[in-house]
Order: sequence, then structure tokens, then C-alpha cells
Amino acid sequence: MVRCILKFAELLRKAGIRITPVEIQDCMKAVELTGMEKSDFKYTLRSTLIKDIRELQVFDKLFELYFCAFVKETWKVSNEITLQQRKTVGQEAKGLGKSGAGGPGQDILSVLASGNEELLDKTAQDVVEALGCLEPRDIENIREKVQEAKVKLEWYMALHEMDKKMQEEKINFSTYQEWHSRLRDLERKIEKELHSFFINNYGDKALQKIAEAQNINQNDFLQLNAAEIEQVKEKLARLGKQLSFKKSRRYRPAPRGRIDIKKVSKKALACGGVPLEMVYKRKRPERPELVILCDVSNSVSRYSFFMLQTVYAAESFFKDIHTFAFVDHLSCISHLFRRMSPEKAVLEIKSLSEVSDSGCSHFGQVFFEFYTNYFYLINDKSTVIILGDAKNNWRSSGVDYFKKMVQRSKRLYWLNPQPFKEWDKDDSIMSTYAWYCTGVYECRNLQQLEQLVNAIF
Amino acid sequence: MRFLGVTQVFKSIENISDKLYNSNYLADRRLAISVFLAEELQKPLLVEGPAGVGKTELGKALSRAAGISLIRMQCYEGLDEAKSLYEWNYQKQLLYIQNAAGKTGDGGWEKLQQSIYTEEFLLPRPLLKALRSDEKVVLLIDELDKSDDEFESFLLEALSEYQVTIPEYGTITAVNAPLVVLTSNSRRELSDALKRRCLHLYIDYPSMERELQIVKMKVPGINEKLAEQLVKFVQSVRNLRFTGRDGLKKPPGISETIDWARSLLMLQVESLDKETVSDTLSVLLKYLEDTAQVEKRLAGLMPG
Repeated sequence: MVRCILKFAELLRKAGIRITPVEIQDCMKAVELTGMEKSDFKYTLRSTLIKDIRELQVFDKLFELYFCAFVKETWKVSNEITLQQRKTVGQEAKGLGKSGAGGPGQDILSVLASGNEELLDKTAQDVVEALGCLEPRDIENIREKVQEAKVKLEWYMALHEMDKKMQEEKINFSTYQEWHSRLRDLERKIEKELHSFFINNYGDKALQKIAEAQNINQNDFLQLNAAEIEQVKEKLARLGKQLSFKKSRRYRPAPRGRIDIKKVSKKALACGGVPLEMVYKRKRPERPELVILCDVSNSVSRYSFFMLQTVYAAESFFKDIHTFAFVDHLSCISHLFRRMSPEKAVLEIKSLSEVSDSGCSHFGQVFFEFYTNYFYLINDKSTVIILGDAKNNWRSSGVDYFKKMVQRSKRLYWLNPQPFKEWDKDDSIMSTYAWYCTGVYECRNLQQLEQLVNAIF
Repeated sequence: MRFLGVTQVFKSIENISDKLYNSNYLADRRLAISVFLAEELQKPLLVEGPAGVGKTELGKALSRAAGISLIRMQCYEGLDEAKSLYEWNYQKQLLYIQNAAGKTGDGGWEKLQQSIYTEEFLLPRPLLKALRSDEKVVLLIDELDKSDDEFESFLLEALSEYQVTIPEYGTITAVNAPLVVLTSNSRRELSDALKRRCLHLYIDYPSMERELQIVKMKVPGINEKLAEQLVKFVQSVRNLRFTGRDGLKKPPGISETIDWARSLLMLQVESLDKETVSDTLSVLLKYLEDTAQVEKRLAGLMPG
């Protein structure tokens, strides 16, 4: 049992939940007290190990997967039976679904309308079955598989159909809500079905992979689902808040700061020129001026949005923020953020038309435009941050202008949302620019973003 | 870690749910287990959840159920040691010194110094009261997220060891480990150190059946049909957060449901209709925007 709990804790840690040895100790003591009955056991683990509301969902998911597999020691054998069962069940479900068919998304709607729990299960099983052969490497992209399953079920048509019915008042609002909650259930079931399929076939390894996939700190921003995006936003807001209280680095290491000569000599006058009392300079928050250039082309726009949200959450930390968006043209967007909340402003950026002619990034042109129009914004106190993948589509690099920007600014950082391995491959010319930058960082998940924010500011 | 003379007020998990039920609090298994563990492991119980789901009520109910007294400490910004733990009674000390002046002979100062820092001059505040109490108590530290970081770190010693140190007086260790309930609305993230020392309980909005049970329990005399209708309505109002693009600013909690049920009972409403709902909506919703939004959708939200 002890090993079993330890292993489970390990799994949770992989999923990004912090668990200390003391908590594991508590957990073991607690299990001794409450016993091993399934739901009691689950609640015991939950209240001793999980301390954050946002982690509950991940815990529930992993608990089901881990302990259900654990209980079924002989799952290799039973697996075949379940597979067979699933086939027959699947056919039944198909039969049921088809009978109510009458248009796109109708199958799933009829399932939703029936509200039958078993039918939902069957649908989930059925659609996973229909996905065909799942290979070991598909573990990495379960999210895509869920998406695929949704498409198979004509999910979005069903959603649309629901909205339409709602508007035409064929169903009332509480039914509409009920259907929505069943849809969420179904999605969860599909995911669970996929998970258990992999675990049944590939065992422990799959479990580890699944746990890792739950870790929002290390997940690529692009792979996050809606709920996780909310979580990340929340965390970024907190990060921004922390930042805005931060004192400057410069005066911090010394325990009492620098001596304020002016004040010391003033005081010394009173005692005949002997500096009896020391006066120290206050630690004043250093407020950098920030110039941000964000690539908003399709491939990297989400990273840019997250970055902007962080920066604007920490708005008071900076003296001035100038924000620019670009694809192949540069556009100043600071005014958007002045007018509305960062979240709305970010949405607004998507509809900017002046930044893009071709839809492909052109860094050379962008640096040229910056140099001609906005160069005065940079001075020896400003920090410049460029967020882009440096994929220049084989166009001119404009590195001369870039060099001038670097020389004039205090610091210039380049954040690249592409994996490090892909830098300088194909049309990426990262190293051309990297040579001149103060720092170049890979920035594709929460952990990296957090680290680099702490490193830069 | 075990204390001498520890009194176990609850015997088993079932015992907790029963006793809580008898003191008008409907506990599910999860809650009962958490409370049970908190008592057995002598750890504080950190209760989180949306507003109005009965977090504070849990603390109160526990004291009623166990038949022990409740010491409640409401947290707010600026709450410090002097207000939460102890204070020296300066006036009394001063009087004592004046009184003693001139009477003492040699070495009087030393004696005086010792005698003015004794229990007689100590003004215990909630935390100290809870620790020094001869009987077991429930210590409810309410809305911890509203206090400052400093206060939170200060609580760490008190909560993990059940002891506090007063420089002039020494360390005071709890006679009986109190049953500590901390509540938080997640307005601010609590520190990891504190979380690590606590057991965690998350109370969510209840399911329909549970809420119905709670309403019947808390508002005796309400008729079955009305209870069912109003719970259904509240549930769908709450669920707006899933379907609408813009959810409510503050979805109604259980306490609002109960208030509403009570007011409907008072108005002698037999069954819900649109008019009564829109007349009494202010009991349920606390923001003007929310009321407007619900009123707009009233027809759809009414239970069929």
C-alpha cells in the first residue's frame, strides 16, 4: 500500500502538483484511520494531498486511472473481454443512434435528449472505437484524438443545432443547460475512454505520459484547452502582480542600501562636520521603460497574447509601455490597452488589418519601419522585448536596423516560442539576430514564461 | 504528535455526520472524512469554496455538534498579533507600578519587572484564548484570505505546533489541541507553507437533491412543491456560468437559497410564478447587473 501511495504521489508530481513528504506522511496516517473503502480512500487522499482547488480536477482524473488500473491487477486478461464487449456495445449504440437520425448532429442530440447515462458511456466508447487503430505515439496527442472524436460525432453541428433550437424556443433554457452539461460529461468520458485504452494496452508508461500531459506549467500554450487557458491567465495575472511589487535589483543585495551623501553631510553640519549619523538611500522601485514588439501572425499569436497579458497585469511596474504588433508591417497598439482591459484589447488585435499584407512575417520590413517611425521611443533606459519565431520567410533580415535598436536601448531580449531544436531550421534566422541580443529565451509554456520574467525584470 | 489530556469529541466518521445532522448541518461523506482526519491528525482544516456555501457555518455547526464552545476570529486587512493573540494591559501595569512605588526595598525593580509580566496583566485575544482553554474548543479563523501575508506567516507557528511564544512570558502550549477551521474565499492565494500544514476541503455548490434536502432542513414548513421549484430555479441560475458567455457576477449560494425560501414562506407563496420571482429576485441576487440578466431570461429559467 505504501508503495502504491508513493507511486501515486510521484504521478501527481509529474502532473505538476507540488506534494511534500510531510503531506505523504499525513496521507499514510490518514489512510490507516479511514480504511480502504474506495470512495473513503479517495476523499482521504484528496484532503491530505491536494491543497488547491484548481488541482482537484487533475487529481480526480489520475485517481480514477491509477487506482482503477491498480485494482484490476489482471487487466491484461480482462482486456480482451472488454474489447469484445465494447464491440458489441458499440454496435448497439450505433443502431440506437441511427434510428433517431434526421440531420447533421442529430445522433448526438438524441443521446443528449435521452439523458441516459449508459447511452452516454456507450457513445463515448463507440466513438473511441471508431477512431480506429491507436498507436503508442498517439499518447502524446490525446487532445487531438479527442478533437477527432468530436468531429466524428458531429459535435459542433450539434452545438449549433442546440443554439438554433434554443432561439426558436423549441427547447427551454433549463433543457439547454442540461444538454450542455451532458456534452461536457461526454467530452470527459471520451477522454477517459482514450486514457484507459492506452493504459490497458501500454501500461505504466502510458500513465506517466498522461500525467505529464496534465501539467499546465509545461504544456505548450498552443495545446491548452479552454479551462486551462483560464487557469494560465489567472496565474499570469498573479505573476504580473508579483512583478509590480518588486524592488529594483540594484539596491537589494546590500542589507541597508547606499549611503545618501547629500543627507549625511547635511546632518553632519549640526555636529560640527562629524558624520555621526548615516542616512541611507531608500530602495526605490526601478521602473523600466518597456518597448514590446509582438509577432501576431497565426503561428505565434497566442504566445504574444499571453505575454501581453502578463505585461499589462504588471502595468504599474513599468514607467511606460509601448506595444507594437506586427506581421509584415508594424502598428502601435498601446492606445488599445489604454482604452480597455488587456483581455479585450488582445481580442481587438486579432482584427487589426494594417499589420499584415501577406500574412507572412517579415522581420526586416518591421525593423525598418520601427527605425524610421518610432526610433525616438528607445533611449538608454528602455528595455526592448521582441516576441517572434524569427521565421522570416526568406525575406531580408534588416539586421542593420536591428543592430541600431540594440545599440540605443539598455537591453534587448528576444523571446522565441519555437522549440529550441527548430531554431535556424528552414526559414528561421534566429542566430542572425541572437548575436546582438542581451538575451534570447525559448518561451512556450508557463514555466518558461515565469522563469524569464523573473530573470529579465 | 499527541497532546496530553486530549479529548476526542467525535468517535467516528458516521458519528460526525450524525451529530452535524442533529445540529442542522447536512454533511456529505467527504466533509465528514475531512473533519474526522482534521481531528485525528490534529491538523487545521482549510475550507475553500464559493461564497455562501456554508464554510463559516461548518465551524459553527461543529461547535454545536460537539457541544464545545466556539472561538471565532474574523480576519481583515491590518489584523495583527496584538488583536489576534495577546496584549499587555498597560494601564493596569502602570497602576501596579505606581502602587508599588516606594514600597519595595532593595532589588525591588527586578521583582517588579517579574511581577508585571504575569498572567494577571495579559489580555488574551482569540488565538491565545483557544490555546489556553482547559476544554477543547473550535477555533474558527474566518476569511483568512483577507488578512495580510505577515499575519499568515505568524499563524504558522500557532497552527502547526499549537503553541505561541510571548517574549516576556515564555512559550504557551495548548492544553487541548483546538479543532481549527480556516475559511477562505480565494481572494488571495494562500502561501504554500500554510497550505502544507492544513487539510484541505473544497465545498462546491450542492447538487439539486442535496440543496433540496438542505432547504427542507433549514426551512421547516415549506411545502414540497415550492421547495422543489425554487431549488430548480436557483440551480439553473447558477448554471448560467457554463452556458452564457457572460456568467453572473455572484451566483447565489446556499445561504441565498435559504433566505429566499424563508422570504417566500413569509409571503405565503404556494408555488412559483414569474411575477413572484421577479419581485423577490433581490433576495437571491446581489448585483443589479445580475438581476437584469436573469430577468431578461426569466421565461427560460422558470422550472417547467
